[in-house]
Amino acid sequence: MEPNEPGLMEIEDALERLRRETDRVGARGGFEARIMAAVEREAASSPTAPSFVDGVRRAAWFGVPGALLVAALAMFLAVREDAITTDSVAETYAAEDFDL
Amino acid sequence: MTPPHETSLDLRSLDEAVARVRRGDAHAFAVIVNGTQHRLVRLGARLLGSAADGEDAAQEAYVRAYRAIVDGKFDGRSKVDTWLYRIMTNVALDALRARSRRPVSDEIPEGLAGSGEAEATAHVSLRELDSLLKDLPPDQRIALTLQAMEGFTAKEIAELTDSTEGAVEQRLVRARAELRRKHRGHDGTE
Repeated sequence: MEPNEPGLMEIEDALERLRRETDRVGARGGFEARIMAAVEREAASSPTAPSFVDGVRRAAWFGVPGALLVAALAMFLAVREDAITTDSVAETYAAEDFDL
Repeated sequence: MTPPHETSLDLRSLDEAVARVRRGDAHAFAVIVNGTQHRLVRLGARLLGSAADGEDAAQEAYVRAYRAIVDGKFDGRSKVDTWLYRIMTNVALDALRARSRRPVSDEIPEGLAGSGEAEATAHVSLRELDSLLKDLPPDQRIALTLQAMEGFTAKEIAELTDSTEGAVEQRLVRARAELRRKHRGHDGTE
């Protein structure tokens, strides 16, 4: 399509005129506040917003491994304590003279 | 990608604002809105032929952008303003496709009505632009508006519309051919 084809120049001129005339179109006053209100509504309803469930989940994330560590330590100490007691009892029996 | 004839945006502050929003500071989004609203609303108004529809589309675009930032879907590979234009063209495309179900808003925005001759002219010109482009398929209308009104190249339009440069050039040729056909019809030369 040639640029000087009949009709085409009129169309290009009309588009250029409309571009100039609409150059000042922009947001009205209060538009930014309206957007921020919409964004804050979105933030409040977003599933990524912190909630009670998120708090529990976060606590569980750190709490469960911590509890497992404490349980393992307690088990280790209990087994160790049991071994010490058994050895101690064995030594006591070994030192005892039995008069039969 | 800042449209030609526009003063360049403070892109660093836009990037910083995106980082703050990502960290949970929703108020930092105001920096993004403040830096881009004029161009985004004007683009929406030109694409949809009405200032009121342009504002509604810009609001939808900003909410989609906010959601994408919070969800970590904006990777920062493109500039913030380019990314916003892309969201805006998608919103406009959805609106144009839905237009058969809902007529164009004929409302003169409160802030525009009676606020000066230039504003009134702008409103009338938007209606004229809408009338000129209304019979074009949405993808052709968007391509032509981005080129003739906003000054983007075919390559930039392809980036904004997730298309190829060749496809955009084809849309531009078809759009102009259709306008020319319509113009000849009005002149009674056909």
